Amino acid sequence: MKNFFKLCDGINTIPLLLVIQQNPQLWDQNTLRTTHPYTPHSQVHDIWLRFNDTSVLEEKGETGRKEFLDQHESIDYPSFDKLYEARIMTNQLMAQVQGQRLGRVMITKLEPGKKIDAHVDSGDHAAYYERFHIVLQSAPGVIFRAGDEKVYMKTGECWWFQNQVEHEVINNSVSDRLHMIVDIHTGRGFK
Amino acid sequence: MITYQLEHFDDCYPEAQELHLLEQHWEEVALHKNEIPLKGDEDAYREMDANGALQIVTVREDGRLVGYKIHLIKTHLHYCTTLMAFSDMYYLTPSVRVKPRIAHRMFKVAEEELFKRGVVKVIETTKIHASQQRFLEFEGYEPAELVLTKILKG
Repeated sequence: MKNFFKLCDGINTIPLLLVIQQNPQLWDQNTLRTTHPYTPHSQVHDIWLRFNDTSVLEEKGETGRKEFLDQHESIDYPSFDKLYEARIMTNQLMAQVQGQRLGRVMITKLEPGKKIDAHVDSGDHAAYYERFHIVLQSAPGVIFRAGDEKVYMKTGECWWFQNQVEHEVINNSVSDRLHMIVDIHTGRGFK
Repeated sequence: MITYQLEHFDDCYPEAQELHLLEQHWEEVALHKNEIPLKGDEDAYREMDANGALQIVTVREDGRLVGYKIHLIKTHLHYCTTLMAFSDMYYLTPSVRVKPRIAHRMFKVAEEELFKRGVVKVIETTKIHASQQRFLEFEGYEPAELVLTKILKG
């Protein structure tokens, strides 16, 4: 496989799932990714743990969009403190891949019957950062396609995937698909 | 929503058991039920899966398992340089069997995935008493051999 690589399995996701379940108010506090025009993520729910500083957008409006999208620097959001278990997982992954710089960290939820439309992650951020997925919850019937390859990522697995080729997700399972997305600059040339 | 996907044995087998799909399949097509009870060799399937010698394409409708197409992948004893796929079994629940093109898509996805793995020839089978020959010929398969069986009795 050229677009997917499984790093490990057996990650205990229960502590993080529990605290997510206990904090439903954290979902969709930031909807920039899921509501902008033509977004492929319109059926997704997000918890931003670490992301670009949106105050640039708030201060400069649309004129600040390029600066906002291009900057590699991400900041911690309050949810990262609330979901401390996510920080532990992120730090462990950083250590595993010898990460040099931590980018965005998000938890995303795709409900049964929903999909993420086919799209390519482009721009400086996607080129600079490697994208990793830690599967917090999934079930057979979730299809993750990148290019001409499809995988089912099981709960507790961690995968690298090539987000600069066209990819899409279909959740034809009976369970919510919860992934933690972690962007890490490794400088080691996965891409 | 109906989707077709590759799955590993342990990802779909428990659900197939829970939904009694294998029993339904067996009831519908098996011969000699009195002499030969249904008892799948789970360890053998797992071993083949782990060795990359098993391909399972499942069909799911709104998340629920409604069909499967299973091939064993290996070189032929007589043609050891050629990878072949030997059909193990295929099944669609009656509720989706009546819908157009589900069986066609299931076969198509299975063939596409086998081709990606380097399979050159697919050996497909069908029961005489529940024949899918017309469908198989429509899918491009040609009659090649007739298989005969015999129950041995003392």
